Parts: sequence; C-alpha cells; structure tokens
Amino acid sequence: MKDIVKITSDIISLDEIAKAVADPKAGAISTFSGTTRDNFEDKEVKTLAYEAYIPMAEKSIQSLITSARQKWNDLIHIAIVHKIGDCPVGETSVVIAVSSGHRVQGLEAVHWLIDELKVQVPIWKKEVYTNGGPNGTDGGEMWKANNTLP
Amino acid sequence: MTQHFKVLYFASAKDASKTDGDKFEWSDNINSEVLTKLLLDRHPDLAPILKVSMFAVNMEYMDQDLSWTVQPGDEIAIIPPVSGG
Repeated sequence: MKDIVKITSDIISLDEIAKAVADPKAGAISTFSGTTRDNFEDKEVKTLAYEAYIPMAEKSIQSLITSARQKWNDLIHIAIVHKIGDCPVGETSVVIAVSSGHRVQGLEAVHWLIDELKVQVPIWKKEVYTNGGPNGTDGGEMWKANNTLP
Repeated sequence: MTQHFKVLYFASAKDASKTDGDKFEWSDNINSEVLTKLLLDRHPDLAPILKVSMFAVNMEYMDQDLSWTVQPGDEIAIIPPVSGG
C-alpha cells in the first residue's frame, strides 16, 4: 500500500499520478484535481502563486493519509501532489488520487482528503489579479484564506 | 553559551516582516504572549497577522488553550490562515 506525498514546482500530471496508484486489486481510481480559476468575485485572476512550509506540509499530508486509511479500510494506494510557485489559469495546483477495491470508499476518501488538506496543511495561495487588487491593494495581489483552524 | 531559537515567516507574515526567518536569543519562560511581544518588537507590521495566525513549534500546531514555552533550538513557524488546494 503506497502513500505518495509530493510538493513540487514542476507541472503536475493527473495521468502520471493516476498511473502511480493503479493496482490489479483496484476496481476504482478516484481523483480530484484543483485548477486555477480565472475569477474571484468580480476580479480577473491572472495566476495563483503557492507557498508552503514544505517539511511540515509533507508531514501534515502524510498524517491525513494515515487518518484516511484508518477511516476507510478498502483503500489501496494514495497519492497527494501539490504544486508550489506559479499556477496560471487553467493549470493544476493539486491532485489527489486514491485506488480502492470498490468505488464508494475511494470517492469518499478523495472528498475528505481535499477538504482536510484545505484547512490543515501549511500551504498558502496568493491571487494575482490582472487589474489592481481588492481594496486598492498594491501589486494587485492578495493572500487567500480557507477556514482558519479552531 | 547563548542558546537560540528560530522563527519562520510564511505568506502574509513573510511580506510583513520582509524576511523568511529570524533567530532569537532563548531565555526561560517564553510563552506565546512573550513570543508575540518579541516578534512585534522586531517587526511591528506583524501585528494584524499574528492576531489571526497559529504558531507551529517543531512542525506541530500549538493549541491556543494549552500553555507552552519555547525550548532552545525550537523551530517556530508563524502560520497565517492556510489556503492550499
């Protein structure tokens, strides 16, 4: 049972990651891809820029994978790959891929993993706008926040 | 021999402090309030960010409700609200 955790500035390939979790015992490979959207409220987004506290992010992602394996017993291989650096519109920032014997648990695990990643893992994204930022911020960019930890 | 601890800044904290890390001299009884004051003395612009950030010590989030003190050699990170994924 492989756990693949990677934080990279290279372009992320969904296909390669799905292949990495393939297994003859798997009846399903469930995946999630996060992609850069071209808008936030009424502003046009040019790119996202991701930053990470890399060793803690890797540790935190591994810990989520361990928890997922405790919650669901039908999971085979799990891969979570997150990009850092620039991620222009249309590009993929994160891929989660899970192989499982049957589809139900794989789909649930992927859903849970991305929701947890978004609130636990020390990774940050900055939105860079094409025309001036919100509230007249300089440089036309803003650090985003998902839900804060309790 | 003076002992030290390290503080790392990320995202908006890095923008505010204009550095990605600092070294501080260690002393006894640096709890989260004392640490906050040390950080603000060095980087006053961190104030609004510290209000909404967590501390991580040696890559573990620190529970705001539990008391803790900095140990020599600790790696402390200012974790502003995260936005991965």
